Amino acid sequence: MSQEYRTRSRSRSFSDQAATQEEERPFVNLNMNVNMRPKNQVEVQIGLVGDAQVGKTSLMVKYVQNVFDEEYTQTLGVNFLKRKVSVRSTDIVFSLMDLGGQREFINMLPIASLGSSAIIFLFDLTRAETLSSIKEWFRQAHGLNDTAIPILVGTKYDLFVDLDPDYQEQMSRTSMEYAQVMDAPLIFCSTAKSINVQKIFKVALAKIFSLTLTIQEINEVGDPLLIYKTLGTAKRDQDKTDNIKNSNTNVTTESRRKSPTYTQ
Amino acid sequence: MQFTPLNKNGSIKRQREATLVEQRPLKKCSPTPSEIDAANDAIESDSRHFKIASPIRDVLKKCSAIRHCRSKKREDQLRANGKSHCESYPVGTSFPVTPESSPLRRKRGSAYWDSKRIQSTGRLAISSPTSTENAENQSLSQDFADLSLTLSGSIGKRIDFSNRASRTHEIFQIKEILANILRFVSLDSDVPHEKSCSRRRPLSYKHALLIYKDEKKARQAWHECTESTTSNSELKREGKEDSLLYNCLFVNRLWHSVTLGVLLKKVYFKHPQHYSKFIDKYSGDCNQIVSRPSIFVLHKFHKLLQNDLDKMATILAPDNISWLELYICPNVIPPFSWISRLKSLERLIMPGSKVINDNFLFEISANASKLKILDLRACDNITDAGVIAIALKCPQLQSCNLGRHRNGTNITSVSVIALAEHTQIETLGVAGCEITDAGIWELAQQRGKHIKRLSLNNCSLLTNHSIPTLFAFNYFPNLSVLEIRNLAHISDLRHLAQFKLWKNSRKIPILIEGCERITKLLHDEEAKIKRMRLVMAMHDMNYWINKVEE
Repeated sequence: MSQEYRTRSRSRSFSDQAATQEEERPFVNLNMNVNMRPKNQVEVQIGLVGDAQVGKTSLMVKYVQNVFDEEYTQTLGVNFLKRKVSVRSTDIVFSLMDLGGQREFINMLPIASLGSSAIIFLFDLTRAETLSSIKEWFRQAHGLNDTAIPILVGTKYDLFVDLDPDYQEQMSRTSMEYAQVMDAPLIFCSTAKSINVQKIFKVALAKIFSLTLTIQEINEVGDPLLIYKTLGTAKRDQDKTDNIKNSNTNVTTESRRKSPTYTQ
Repeated sequence: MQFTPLNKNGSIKRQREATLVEQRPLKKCSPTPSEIDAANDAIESDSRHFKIASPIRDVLKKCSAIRHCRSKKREDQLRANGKSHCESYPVGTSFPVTPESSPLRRKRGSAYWDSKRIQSTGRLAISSPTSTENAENQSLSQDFADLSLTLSGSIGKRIDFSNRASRTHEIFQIKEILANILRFVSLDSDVPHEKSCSRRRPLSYKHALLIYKDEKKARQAWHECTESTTSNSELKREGKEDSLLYNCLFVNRLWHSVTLGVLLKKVYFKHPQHYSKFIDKYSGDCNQIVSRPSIFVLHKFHKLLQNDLDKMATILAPDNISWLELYICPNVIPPFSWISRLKSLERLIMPGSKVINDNFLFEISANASKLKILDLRACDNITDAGVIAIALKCPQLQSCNLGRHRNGTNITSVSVIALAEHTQIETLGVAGCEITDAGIWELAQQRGKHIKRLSLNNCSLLTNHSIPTLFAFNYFPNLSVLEIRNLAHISDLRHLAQFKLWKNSRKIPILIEGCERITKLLHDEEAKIKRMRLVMAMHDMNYWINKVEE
């Protein structure tokens, strides 16, 4: 396996952050009806953890920049990217923290998990051992932040479908069991073929704010699984409201304003 | 750079000088009256100390004798250099006899520098043409070595510093440089002024609770509010601030004259004693103009009479005054002879004056075309006529405060409109005046973009058609302070709350001072808007997650 170790330094990651922050809304002149409508901003921080080379950085980059790169780049420490989704009068800002999968970065786990409203646990569908190490990741991350919503994501589905059907079935069943135990929505995705990438974050948002999601679930073994309805809600029903208020999601508001026009 | 030697020497010299200089210069910016006695005591103790340590006097005599010998030696050296004009220069003899209290004066001052220059030229002249360049370089470097601010041993020897007290560096002997240094020091000294408060005091404990949203803070604020206005610690601090330049008066004569010049540029008094002392000292002799200050400030002279102030006109010339302040001096107006000469006036601050009236404003406005800041709070006799005169003649006016508790009927929308149309008004205070919605609308249309502070407390005629409506159209986009206390007819604060949230979201500080009722209304509106926006945000997110993509 030829690996190219390119340094993805933290400074680069933070310059990305700065770039997204600069996209402040300009002071625009619009007619009155529009300018009085408030522009809300919802910020959600999501951490990505899992073994090395399962595709955490790929998923993040794919979601934020819609780019997939076959080349492997090792994450040193934590990567950080922001994506802003504008929906009608609301901006949803996803702050994604991606932790390097090597064991030596475990001491940076607090960066990715503390302050996150959801933590995505990723494993490689083609390597069963990455799924079993989810146990350890979950134990560690959940210990640091037990209010964050866990989401279990299997990656490289495009390679997974070509494998032995028995292996596929066994893998799917085991991951479903894991999802049950973790009380985490389960999603199989492919970054290379853009399968279920957007849905991961929609599920995350739905679970964080206890919104009702109507996307069809996918339960058939062999298909890219998408199971979320009964998962990730049980424990949080009682502290649903706390979650919204306290779980580090700030709803800030901003309204567009016009400057007055002068008539003499 | 080491200035420490100066400090050390300065203090020693001051001790000596304080006892020997017969007529002490006027103590202008001394501490509070209570501390004056203390200071006198200190001086007495100083002199006592001096008597005990009188052997110093003998030492000083010896020192000056030694120096005299050395200067003779140098004279001889110069003579040996064979330059005739050196002979004509009377090095040791022609210096004025100075008190032995300041032996260093003998060597310092411009005369000494002349001698230095002559010495160097002499050196140049005797050197042969071939080595001129070298010699020049050498002499230059040597001359400039003296200018280094640190005192190295070698320089000390060269310049004949024989006695510790006289080791003040020459840089502090040059009048121009000293003047510059002291001018910088004077920038630090505070002219007495009203302390600006960050927030107005709450009107009740409930109100404090509304403002601070924290019981502890609210209780503290309310407590401070009910306590007496000035605390002792403040008074003490005030006293010490000004002593910087005052101390410089006592270093030596050069310092005294330069410091006095700098001090007289800014003439300010906080205590009647200082004022009468100043008058006594300068009005007695020959009635000549002592200074053309740029600042003239009297702070809280409740009992000052017009006669006393008029005496000042014979001492100070008003031509350069840019800042004229008679803060709470209810019985006086500036001397009549000054009024027509206040051409560079930029800041006129006369709150609490009972005697100034429209006529005074007519006179002032005729000349003070550069006026930028006008503070006439609680000047009850000012009416629209005076304000209009100012507005027409002072196009650069930026800040105008006409707030008052009595005679509110004297100021109406007419003033506001005049100011809005003819001046560069940014800060307007019309608290307690009978202005109407129309006046505010005119202000918004003419100057809305530039208005930064607006005080409309107790303007009983304002209704929902002015401020609330104007904010709906964002007529004051740059406003940072708005005071709207006790406006009985204002109830619709939705747009104001929206404006506040908008400013907050852009991280621009905004302060809206309301009374209990208005603050509560504002809070309610804010909460309502926030709630509404939260619901909307949830709605939008719901829409997004269920939208079909990919």
